[in-house]
Amino acid sequence: MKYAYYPGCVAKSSAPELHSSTALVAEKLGIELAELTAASCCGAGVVNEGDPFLNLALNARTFAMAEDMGLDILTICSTCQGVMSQVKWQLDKDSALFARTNGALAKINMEYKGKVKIKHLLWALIEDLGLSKVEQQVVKPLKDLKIAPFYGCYVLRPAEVLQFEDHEKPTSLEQLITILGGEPVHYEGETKCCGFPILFVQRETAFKMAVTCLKNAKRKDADFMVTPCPLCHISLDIYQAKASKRTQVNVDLPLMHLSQMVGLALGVEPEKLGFSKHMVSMARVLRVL
Amino acid sequence: MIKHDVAVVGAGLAGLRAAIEAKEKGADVAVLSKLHPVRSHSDQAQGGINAPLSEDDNWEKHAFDTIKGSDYLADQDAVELMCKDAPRAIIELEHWGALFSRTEAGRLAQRPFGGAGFPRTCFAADKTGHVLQTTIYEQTRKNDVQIYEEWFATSLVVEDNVCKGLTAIEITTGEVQAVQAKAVILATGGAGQVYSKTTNSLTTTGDGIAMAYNAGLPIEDMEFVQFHPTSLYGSNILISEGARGEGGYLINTLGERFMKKYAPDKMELAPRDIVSRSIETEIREGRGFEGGFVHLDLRNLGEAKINERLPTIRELAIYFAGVDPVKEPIPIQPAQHYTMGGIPADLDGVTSIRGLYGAGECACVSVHGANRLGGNSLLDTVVFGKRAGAKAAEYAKEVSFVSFSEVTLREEQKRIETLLNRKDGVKASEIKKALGNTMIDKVGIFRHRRELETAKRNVATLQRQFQNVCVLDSSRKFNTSLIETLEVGFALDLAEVTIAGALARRESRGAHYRIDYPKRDDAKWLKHTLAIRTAEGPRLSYKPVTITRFPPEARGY
Amino acid sequence: METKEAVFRVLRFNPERDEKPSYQTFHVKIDKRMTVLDALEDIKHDQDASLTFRRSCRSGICGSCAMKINRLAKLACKTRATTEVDKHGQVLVEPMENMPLIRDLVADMAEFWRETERAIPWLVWDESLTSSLKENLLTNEQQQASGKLADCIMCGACFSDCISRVFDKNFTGPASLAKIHRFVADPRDKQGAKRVHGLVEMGLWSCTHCYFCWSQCPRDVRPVAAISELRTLSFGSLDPSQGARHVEAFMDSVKSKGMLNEASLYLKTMRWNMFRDFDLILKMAAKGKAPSPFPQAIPKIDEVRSLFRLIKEMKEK
Repeated sequence: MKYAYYPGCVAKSSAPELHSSTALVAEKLGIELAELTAASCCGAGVVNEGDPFLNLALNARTFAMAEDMGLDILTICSTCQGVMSQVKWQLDKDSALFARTNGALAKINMEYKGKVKIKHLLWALIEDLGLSKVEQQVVKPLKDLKIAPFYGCYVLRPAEVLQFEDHEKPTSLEQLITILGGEPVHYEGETKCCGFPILFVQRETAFKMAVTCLKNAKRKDADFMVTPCPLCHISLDIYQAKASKRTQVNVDLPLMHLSQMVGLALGVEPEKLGFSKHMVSMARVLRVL
Repeated sequence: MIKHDVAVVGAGLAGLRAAIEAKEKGADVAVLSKLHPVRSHSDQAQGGINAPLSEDDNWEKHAFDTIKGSDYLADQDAVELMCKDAPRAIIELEHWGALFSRTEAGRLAQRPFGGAGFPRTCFAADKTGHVLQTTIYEQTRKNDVQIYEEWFATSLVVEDNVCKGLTAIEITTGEVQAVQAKAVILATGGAGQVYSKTTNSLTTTGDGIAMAYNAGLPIEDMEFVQFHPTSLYGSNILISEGARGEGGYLINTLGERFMKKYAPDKMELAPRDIVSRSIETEIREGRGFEGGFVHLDLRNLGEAKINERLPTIRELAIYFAGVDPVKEPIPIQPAQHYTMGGIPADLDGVTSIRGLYGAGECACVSVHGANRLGGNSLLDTVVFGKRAGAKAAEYAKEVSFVSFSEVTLREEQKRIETLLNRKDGVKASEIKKALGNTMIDKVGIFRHRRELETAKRNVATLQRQFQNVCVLDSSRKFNTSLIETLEVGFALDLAEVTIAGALARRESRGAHYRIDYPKRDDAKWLKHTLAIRTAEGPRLSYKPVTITRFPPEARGY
Repeated sequence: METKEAVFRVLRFNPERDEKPSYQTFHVKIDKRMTVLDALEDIKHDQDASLTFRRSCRSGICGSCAMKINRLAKLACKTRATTEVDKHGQVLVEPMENMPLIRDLVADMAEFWRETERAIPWLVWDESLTSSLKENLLTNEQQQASGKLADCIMCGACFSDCISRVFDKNFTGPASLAKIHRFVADPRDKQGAKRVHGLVEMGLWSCTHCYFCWSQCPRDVRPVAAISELRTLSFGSLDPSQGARHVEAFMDSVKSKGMLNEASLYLKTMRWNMFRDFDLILKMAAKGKAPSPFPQAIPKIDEVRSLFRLIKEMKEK
């Protein structure tokens, strides 16, 4: 299995542990990652508000690059996935827009052919590799650990754009957690918002959103939360202490990136997975294992 | 006591248009509605609104089509006025922001509709009602029209033939309130829920017509009930005439476009009464599908056209009938759709009770006579709504408030209290179901004296049962069981009047078809029915039809 | 038709009797065609006449019956009972969120109406046309954007499920902003882009793009997309808000480096507020996570810059 790998911006700067743990997991599972080094930022939905057409063009350029490599794109960030799925959906259903976008790409000698698929690592594990294959490679099952899946927004909604699972009753993270040996816990907020998109604009509101999700998971005795999005990780891990302090709700719930959780179960040494880079300590969880 | 110059009951197109006009003319207006205005049944209209806009069309042709469509029962002076005013009424809506469908050149597009000799139906895809209702509601915000939202009118206060106001339940609190008004405009819509198979909303229960009847106003032409040919089999949700206007076919089990037998010229676009009877005949004669429906086939239109012009009905068919009209024919059957009869009102909405006005479907001017053409109801609402609003405002300027006794309010409160406190009895929902089934079976598309008489007896029984109806919810606040019970009471009265008119009228005209009297009889029956409430039931009288340009002729399509 | 028994857990609250809401379980026979509204009507008529809910058209057009069904706001008349049972095991029915409760499933929509009617909720039309018998010329393409937004039936589902609205009562909500955009996008509106003034105060930048309003809207209005478009329009009016600065900083970053220069993005957005996070920035630096203030541009950055330039030129033409 080989993909055109699109790590996104945050995995290369504020969440480097995501990028490094992804590489280790890919190695274990025999997934080859050919990085799209010249791909631009996906825009995170923000460029779309600055200039919608530019947003389409920049992402179509990334699509074209992957098509030139003859590979589908693998993302490790829900936001990148959400943005790119929307761009692809818009272009694929509107032939005039498709043509206009290619008109812009033509000026830099590129062409989006409409063939590339874009998948999140979570989806690739389920759809392409198959969970049974992953299960076969589990050497350190996440036994006795209650794990709170945090889907967030962009990897679920709008369901007709993402075309993967039912946003009302998603099961991908639960399925993954289960075959990795952990116990998924359900809680109010697992499909709600972490607050990141308004963290720098409406800080108070963002903190309240984050804390609500975290405390609900904590109430269900979750040992840690897992998220497929590094932006959610910033809001829920990096800013957890500040959010707790501001809302006066103590949480202390560590968060893993998806790849860290998979890596752990597949036997990658915890030190290599970059937990020390988190703000909220993973020590208690690692002691259980 | 709450006091307003003009109180409008009903917040659909007619009611809101009347309110805007009355306010513009300087009256202190208030609208009472048992729903939030945007929920009104006008919102459901799909197909379009008629106006002779084209250079190749004119108001006389529109008037002729309407009058012929009415089977010559329409009052021709009213029809002429409506058709002459149509372009102004529609362009006004466009100026206000209505999002009508357009031609390539950017003008208002018009589609062919039933019984029309020219494509003069302006439309907004197949959600014309929603577009117009939204637009008019927005204009009430601009004009800051006061709206009493979720107030259910229960009775008119009429003393010495003067309307002094009304009583209403403020649904949220349950309080029975009195509203004193110099003028009351009834714009409460039709009475579809008298029938078990109807395209109408669950809240379209004929309240205003019944209240007027209870207040001593004779009500007109109630036996003329329109059955829309194409409602979805199962739910009876409306599938717009626009579907046939855009080229859809009606097909029986033999695969025939059977309208050829009944209206060889107009085919699927014959007037509704003819198409409904045709479908019903096909079903009765064994050429309908099991369950009692035929097919409306839109496949020949193609996906692009359906998506552009009929997106709502595509969605409705998929969701409520499990059928995608792009790929399969839609199962349809006729269902009650429109009440041609109602409160007798003149060209300005004036009734024979001073200070009481009527506009829209609840009124009978009569522009629709024995059968309404599609696209004329939306037109009726804005044309006559405006006129009633203007007239009511003018009247309110000339008169002072006449108070009415507190006793009136107290009696109404007591009546409601008694109803609420009754511990057991008959359920309103059961009475409603029995009523609806009787009406659809025996006072439907094909009528006969025997069945009408059975219906009359059934309704009498149900009325007796209703004396002992039990609400089964004694709470005050937001008691929808109480509202539904009162609505069933209104429905029973209207059913009684409908049956009486149908029994008496020994002819067939428009939507009223008697198997035992299948011919139209102008000599004896070119007249409107009036029914006034008495202790022994409705007492019928008749009034002439106003004929100006078009003497009655044979009606063939 | 074949029927099966389904469990309906319905929130009950009668202000005349109850101190707080509680849940009541009903068992209802459902067939494959019945909607949740059909089931509620059956419960009301056959089991408990006091069950209170709004409904009217039963065909998904009037918007009366919006309520939370299995925790998401939907129209009861357009929600198939068997689908809900198959997916969730039971049908949990609750009133809409973000609105005070009147009784049972009837929410008080007063705030919703107030919000949607805050900012000139009518077309500001050219009144010199009052006596004209000519319509404004407008093609279907020109009114397509408005038309989609005008499909809104004001059911309240988006407002109910808006996450920002839960925590931020200053946020006017998705339906309100969608309605404003309906007029902005209408070529006949004389207010036009002026409508964008004042939107910041109404919470234009409070939307988190959680996409619940897109998901739950029964008419596919997509308020979140309208919000994004209003944000785009708000740049033209020299909006100095934090939200606008954030977008501009983001754009600059992508243009110059191809990737996000998080440091400069943060600084330009937060400005002096960055000192609130100084301790955090230090901690991150210690862990090797602080974004470099001097990131490298991606390979082939010139392609990215060309696209920026080209598209700007295309717009100016």
